[in-house]
Amino acid sequence: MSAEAFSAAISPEARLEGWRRFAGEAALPAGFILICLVALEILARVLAAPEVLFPSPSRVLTALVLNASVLSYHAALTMSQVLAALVLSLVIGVAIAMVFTLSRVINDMFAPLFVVLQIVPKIALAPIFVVWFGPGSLSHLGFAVCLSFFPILAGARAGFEETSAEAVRLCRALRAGRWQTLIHVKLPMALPQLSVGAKVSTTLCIIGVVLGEFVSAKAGIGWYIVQAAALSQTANILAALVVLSAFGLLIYGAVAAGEIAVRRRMFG
Amino acid sequence: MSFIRGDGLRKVYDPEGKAVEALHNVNFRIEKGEFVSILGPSGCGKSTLLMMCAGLEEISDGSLMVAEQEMTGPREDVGIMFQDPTLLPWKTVLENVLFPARIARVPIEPVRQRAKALLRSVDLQSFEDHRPHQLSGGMRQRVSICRALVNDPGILLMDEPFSALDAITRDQMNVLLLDLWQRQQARTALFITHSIREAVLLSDRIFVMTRRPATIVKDVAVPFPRPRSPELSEGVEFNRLCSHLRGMIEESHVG
Amino acid sequence: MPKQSGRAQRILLPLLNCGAIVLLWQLAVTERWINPLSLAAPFEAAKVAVSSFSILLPHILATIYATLLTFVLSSVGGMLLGTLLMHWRSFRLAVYPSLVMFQLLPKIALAPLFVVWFGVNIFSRLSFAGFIAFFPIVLATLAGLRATDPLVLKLCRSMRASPSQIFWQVRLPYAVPLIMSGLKVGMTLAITGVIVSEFVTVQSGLGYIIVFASSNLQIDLMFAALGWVSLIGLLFYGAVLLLEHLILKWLGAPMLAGLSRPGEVGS
Repeated sequence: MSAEAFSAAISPEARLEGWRRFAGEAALPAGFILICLVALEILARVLAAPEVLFPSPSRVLTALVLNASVLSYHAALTMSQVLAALVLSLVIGVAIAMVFTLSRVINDMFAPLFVVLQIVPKIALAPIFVVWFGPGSLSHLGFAVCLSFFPILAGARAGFEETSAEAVRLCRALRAGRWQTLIHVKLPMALPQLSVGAKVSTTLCIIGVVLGEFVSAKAGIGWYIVQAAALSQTANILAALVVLSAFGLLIYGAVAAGEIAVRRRMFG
Repeated sequence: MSFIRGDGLRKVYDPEGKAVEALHNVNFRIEKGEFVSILGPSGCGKSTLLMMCAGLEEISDGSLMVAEQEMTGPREDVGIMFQDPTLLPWKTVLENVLFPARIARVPIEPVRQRAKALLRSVDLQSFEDHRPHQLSGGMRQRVSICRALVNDPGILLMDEPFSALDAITRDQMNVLLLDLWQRQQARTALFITHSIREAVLLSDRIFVMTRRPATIVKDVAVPFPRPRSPELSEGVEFNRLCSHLRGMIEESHVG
Repeated sequence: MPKQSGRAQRILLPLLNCGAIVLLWQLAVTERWINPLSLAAPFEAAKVAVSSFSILLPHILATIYATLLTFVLSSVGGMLLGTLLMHWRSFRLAVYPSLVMFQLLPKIALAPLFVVWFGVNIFSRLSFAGFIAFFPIVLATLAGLRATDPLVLKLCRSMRASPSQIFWQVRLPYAVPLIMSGLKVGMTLAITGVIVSEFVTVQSGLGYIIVFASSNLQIDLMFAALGWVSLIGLLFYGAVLLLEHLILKWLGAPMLAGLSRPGEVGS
């Protein structure tokens, strides 16, 4: 991008135009959501459906506000496990991808195995983690990592393999060793693909921890939802979902922001 | 003893079991300090020969000796330039030039001075902290030249480095290379190009290569004395040599 | 130049490796290096898988039926909605962001809600699994239909092709790769949804068996059920791959993808 184009893009006029467009594009769907909520509210009151089946949005909001502290406590618990799982998945996924890139033999031995494991419904493994680690957060962590390191592994491998042939050739011409090529060139070049994997992985971490809490837990949002379901407190369940989604979007947004920051710093 | 010497070089590719002979019985001698161009039609194996000299391509048959040593793999006294500048997009211009030194794990400070001097000599001193995406194609190739020269190599290998540039920038690059080359003549250079004029302007000798299976059919000396200036390309002798070469190349096509 | 491994190496090594792992696993359990209450020996589990077949069969079938039904319903529904969104601009503009938002929601968390609503029965399981599998299919269909090369569309308009011709003969074929990747994700989510709902309703199906076996510490049975789940998962996914291959072959296009990038499996 030329210097002129770059400064034009960040000029005050351009910024205002950008905001205007964003507002315009956000208005229609935001309006639609608002209309839906109002319609649901009216419907709920008119139908006078039992709260179990169809709590009006205002009821959910009330539940949210009333239970705010409890929900925050459980959400924080769950989310800290999600973050831990995400970090672990990143480390494990990238490490395995690096081993695969450094050793062709190990790659040939294990890579197809991982491809098959990717397809197998690992979701069914939730109870086995409880058997292995007991009914605590360690089993949730383990299960979440088991689910979510695959996209990271795949993203890292794809990133390493797709490093431009010219860059690899340059490294060979400079007599760079495998490790040097990996660290100096392949790893930075893999970051975009890795970010894609990390975003998918975030979603899977949330699923893993919450499902783990369904299967066995004493606290956390998943446990809260199960308890609320036992008492048929639909409004509370939906309130918990709102909190869970909000936190989930926060983490997802953080990962996405991290990706943009890295991209900008590295590639301009 | 010649500095770079090829005897009966042969390269066979084997894609899907069908052997394709890219190079056949290539023989040549290059003395220290010579600038040699390889001219020939596209896809005839010029790049393959260069890659062999860089140690990046395996030799199927024959022998290749550099400084009286058998060529087995990439050497540390070689600087290489490709058609694509291949700058690492996340590194600054200066860091890109320093990249070979970092890989070679040599002390960085003396190399940094040399890198800055090189960038100054190609007029990029105010772009040291820029990123590749902020530079034009010609500027990126200039950075690529500096990177090739940063370790002060005895051999410079260039694979059509200016083919992707527009005609005007290309002419500027030729002048630049001529200037850089003539400042320090201890280097030996092997330069691949399609452009006859480029080859005649820059080189001491020109090898003409045929189509696949390629071999060197003509070894033409370029008699103009050094230091040369760009005005040389407007002279009568220059253009006569170009026509002569053109005729030779057309002949080797028909044959 | 780093060589590519020969074909023999690429096929033999993983197979030998798998064999070695299975043997090591078997040894680890029989020699009590690992507590047999944690991990079932693969041969024992296989034996149980076969010997308890008559007990497991109704549950295997239940899971299979549920997955199949979920997949069919959400694919058809998803593709229809995707097509509708493609052609109705204002509807799409209004609804699309909500769809994306729904896609991002951790819908798994709603499994107990479906039980509250619909009770402990097949209907709640089907609706939950369908709910999960539906969204990626809609989004993929929409993306696929919009991915047509604009130059080809210009060509069609210059030939005055009717909208229906454009849809069936141009948009749909171009959309196949993206729709297929959506179906792959949908299939994975259908199985996931069914298993999770079986965990939660603990009534029937392989998910139920797994939970039941784990609470009774019948590890062999648990691993036998896990084996069956894996087999079903692989077979169903393979079926979608086969479908993709057949469709692409019929369209005359070369096989564009074997296994989709694992990173694409979404929530």
